Amino acid sequence: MANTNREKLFCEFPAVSTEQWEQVITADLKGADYERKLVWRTGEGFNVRPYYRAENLEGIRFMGSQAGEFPYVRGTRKHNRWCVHQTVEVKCPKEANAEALKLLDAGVDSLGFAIAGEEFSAADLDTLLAGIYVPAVELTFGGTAVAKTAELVLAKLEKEEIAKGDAHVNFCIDPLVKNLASKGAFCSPNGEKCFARIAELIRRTAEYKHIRVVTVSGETFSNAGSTIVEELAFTLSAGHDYLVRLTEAGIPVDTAARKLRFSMAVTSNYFMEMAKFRAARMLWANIVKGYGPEKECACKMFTHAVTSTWNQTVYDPYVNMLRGTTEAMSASIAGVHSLEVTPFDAAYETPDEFSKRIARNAELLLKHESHFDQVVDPAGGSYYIENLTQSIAAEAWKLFLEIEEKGGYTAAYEAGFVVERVKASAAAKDKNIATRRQILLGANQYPNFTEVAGEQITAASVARTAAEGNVLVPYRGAMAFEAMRLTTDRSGKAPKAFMLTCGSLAMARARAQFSCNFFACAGIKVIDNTFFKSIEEGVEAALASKAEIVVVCAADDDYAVAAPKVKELLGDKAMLVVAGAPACAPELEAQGIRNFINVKSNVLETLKFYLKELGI
Amino acid sequence: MRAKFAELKYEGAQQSCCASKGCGQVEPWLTAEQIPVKGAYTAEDLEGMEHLNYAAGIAPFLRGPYSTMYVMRPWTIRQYAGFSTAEESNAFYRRNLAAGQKGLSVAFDLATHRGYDADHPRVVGDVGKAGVSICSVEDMKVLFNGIPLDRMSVSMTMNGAVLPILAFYIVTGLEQGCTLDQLAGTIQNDILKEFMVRNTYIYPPEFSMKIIADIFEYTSKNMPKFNSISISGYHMQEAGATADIELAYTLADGLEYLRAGINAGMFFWAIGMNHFMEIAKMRAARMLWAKIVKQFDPKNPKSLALRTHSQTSGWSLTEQDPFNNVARTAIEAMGAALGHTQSLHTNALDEAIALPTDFSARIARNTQIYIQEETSVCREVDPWAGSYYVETLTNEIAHKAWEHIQEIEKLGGMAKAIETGIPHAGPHRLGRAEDHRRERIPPGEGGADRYSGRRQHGRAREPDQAPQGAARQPRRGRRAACAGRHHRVREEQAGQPAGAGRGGSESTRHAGRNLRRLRSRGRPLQGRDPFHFGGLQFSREKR
Repeated sequence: MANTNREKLFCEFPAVSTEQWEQVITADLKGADYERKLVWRTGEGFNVRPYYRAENLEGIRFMGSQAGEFPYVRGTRKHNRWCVHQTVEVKCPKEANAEALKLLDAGVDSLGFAIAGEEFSAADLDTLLAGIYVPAVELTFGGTAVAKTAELVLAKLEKEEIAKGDAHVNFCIDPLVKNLASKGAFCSPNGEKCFARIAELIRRTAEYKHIRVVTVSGETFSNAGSTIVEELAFTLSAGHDYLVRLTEAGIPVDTAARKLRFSMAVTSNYFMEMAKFRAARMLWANIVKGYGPEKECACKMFTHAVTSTWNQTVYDPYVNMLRGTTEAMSASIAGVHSLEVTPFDAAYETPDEFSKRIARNAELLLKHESHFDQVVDPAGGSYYIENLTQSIAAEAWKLFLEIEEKGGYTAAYEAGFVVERVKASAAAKDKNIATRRQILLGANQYPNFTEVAGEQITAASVARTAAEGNVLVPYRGAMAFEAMRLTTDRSGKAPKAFMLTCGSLAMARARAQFSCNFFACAGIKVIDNTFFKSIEEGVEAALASKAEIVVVCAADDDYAVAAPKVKELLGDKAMLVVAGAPACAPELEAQGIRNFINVKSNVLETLKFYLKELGI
Repeated sequence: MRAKFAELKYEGAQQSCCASKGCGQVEPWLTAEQIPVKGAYTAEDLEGMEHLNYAAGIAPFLRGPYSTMYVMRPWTIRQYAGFSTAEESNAFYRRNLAAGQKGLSVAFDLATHRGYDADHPRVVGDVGKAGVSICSVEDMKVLFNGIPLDRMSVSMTMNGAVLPILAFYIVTGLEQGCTLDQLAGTIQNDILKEFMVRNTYIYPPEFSMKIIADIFEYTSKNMPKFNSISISGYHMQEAGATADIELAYTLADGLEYLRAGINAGMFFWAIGMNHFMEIAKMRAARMLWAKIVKQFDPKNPKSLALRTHSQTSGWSLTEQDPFNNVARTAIEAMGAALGHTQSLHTNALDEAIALPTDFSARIARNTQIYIQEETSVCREVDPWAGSYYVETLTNEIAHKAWEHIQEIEKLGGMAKAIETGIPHAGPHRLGRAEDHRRERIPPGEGGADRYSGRRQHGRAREPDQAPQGAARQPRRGRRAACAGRHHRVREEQAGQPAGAGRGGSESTRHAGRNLRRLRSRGRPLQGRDPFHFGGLQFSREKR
């Protein structure tokens, strides 16, 4: 190897053993607990160590397979040229066509059409695709009555005699995930009608190598609050059910597998999401393998990724641009077939030209300036990512087998298992957000102090729809905070919280910062003050400010004296809050000082309580 | 019939059924550093590599200067800012700290850099521009009002006028009631690169080195938490250097300081858009620095550790479509984080053209908070370790940089090399690297969205072979626009009142100025350029 003949640069440094490393870590921990400080207890059911080394790759059995080789952990292809996907809403076919052409000019090479309404006709399709050279782009049709659209598209392809290998077309037909999740039941007994139609479309397109009839909408789970492992396992299970039913309908497994497309969300959990897509390919390859396909190629998973909507926020929406960017990095490194970045304003308005442009540009930058399309699976070999892939695969496979025992996805869904699992995961996340164990920047941490919701943010955009029946409802993690803040913004009152900084300067400043970021989450205006030399001076300024809430910000040791004094001077002219968790809290409580905020607070519940006290 | 699944299978029956059909083998790609990148890397690529079993917290620090890196404590969010008066800058700092920033980085105006009082006739028009004007201890006290210096690490970009500025800072700390050993932070104090690219020196090199040595002696005795020098590669990348050159010349500068008795372990990198190369650069830098310091046989093994501040690249930003800069900066910040920087400045989307507003400063800062709080990347030490691709790049760039360093050494070290003109003469490194980089800029400068997908319409798509040619044609680089833009900004400022100055990336501006000078002289440059490395002739840039 070339490396062997090279000049040695680091002879003076011997290899470091894991024991040596651990010794240094133990010293650096200064007595703190290793497990608590350093081990990440993920929400996915396994733990992650602070570092991995070559020795941690031992026993990972998928190591060694290359991109394009079974089980496809490293990719189904030998390159990483993913398609830049963007969806066009089709209300008026002519307008949609104009937008589509513009997108093609702007670097998009995978167009999604979301058809609205049942009236979409062959003439409409002609209008929609006017000027688009079908063999040059990938087309994906979704929206309402997709099966009907599919027939129109096929008729058009046949009429225009487009070569069967040249049409790259996908249809978002998905009775198992999308329809069950939104309606809780099939539209015909056991979905027989749907499946008959799918089977018919598959037979008709058997010779079209690049037409995929079914899209398994895995993002449905993620955007309803599932964990990554759940999203993966449920998606695979649903894919498996399709495979079972289609082969039972007499379609060869090779054909059936090639007619499935998988779509999944990508959240901001950077490496975990990479690992998910890698694990997904491996597990799906195994599932198809179980049916003995003639060609191994049939085991390749065809994946689309769309950046999460669950973590988007309507306040401080520019953070959504950042989310979209790192999510696009995850997905493109993971090696998806196509990728759509959700525009940053999608949570509160119909995305406009600007937001769509910025969304697709994130992908173009990754291709043309960061060269992410040059190397397939950069994650290959990474001690950490390979281990994550292993862990995710193991957990998802376990859950997949559990669902198999229940009779497969459909049976498990109908029994309420899927919804129950997702609801539990969502509730756990909600709690973590309320207590800031999970951060949504701009919503539950570091809110923009001066931001007031604009008109485009409506009560509907922050209201979480209640789930009725056995359905999965998409929502956003920030909604509870946003609804609270919007209530304040729209109340016509502008409640204020005054920071009464005193005692030790350093602690006063730290606490004032914490408190400002606490109250601003509810849309309460914060009045920060550098430092008051005396409590009298501080209270005087507080009263002058007419703030409804006065927060004493000092060191814990200062509170035994400071808090009662503030209370005495303040009287009932404002609500008194103490920032911190002082040892003297019980004594203060005995004197009627009951409001404390600190890192252990449930931010959401505490703020809701204060707003209620203020009559908002 | 449902299949029964038990054990997962890891091997396929056939090797690869599509290999014959060429599921798209990729053409090797030559990076700006002239490193060929293959389409795929495998375990074979690691064979014979000598650095794979290094750790974090132990020399040569491949995987980070501290044993647990961000798992225990993430990098410091340190936004470089300063403008107009001490009062205004102070208010700006405090708003930023309240919004989650963790450390301060002070930008001084040009008058302060050059050691002039604000009322000196020679600096009229520069006061309060591109940084804060500080003329006295009183100004400094205002600058840090309400900011406890015993708890706040402060970085000061100051090279020429280090003596008065550091003295003001120390007195301010003492008057706040801090002790000397509590003062934490960094002063840039890197005079060699001033002669190479940035030009705000006051004294000739020899005296300048003496000042640095004196400061080093004082701080190492009295201010253990304070870094008395930060060696900057940032300005080299901004002036057009590729990652290997930035790495090599910066480490060579460091070596020069070591020889002068200054143990400099603090560096400053620019982080550009070639994500994995930047991660590799930062990893290679730590190993090479350890190797360099090792020759001096230091008593404390910690002195072998390279620590760094980083800033996202101003070079990569565009003016036309500033919101693309949000994504650029995010990608670059991810690079800095995954390469394990100790502190980071993220550029504002309008950094190249204007003083960051509260709005753009917020997005820039949020970029870092977002990465720390939402992406979970801080849970792991050196997550890219082991990656066949990243380890290969690390190995390649380490060797390349070492060759460059050897070249400088043969000339007797960086100070001598500057005199003989190596960093720009002969192969004309900085300028040529700049040319290589320019070729890599996609068309539709800035508006990445101008890249035309429609050109493909008339052509049948070859499956798995996306059109590349059209997107890869050399065009007028963004850099050229950048230089012109800086020029314009400066002209516009001339008419502004002192209070309305611009701040932000002064370094970018300087780089632009240098570049402009390079350009105006034609290319390639022949021999020595008395302006470019004017310090050795002690001739000043004409103002």
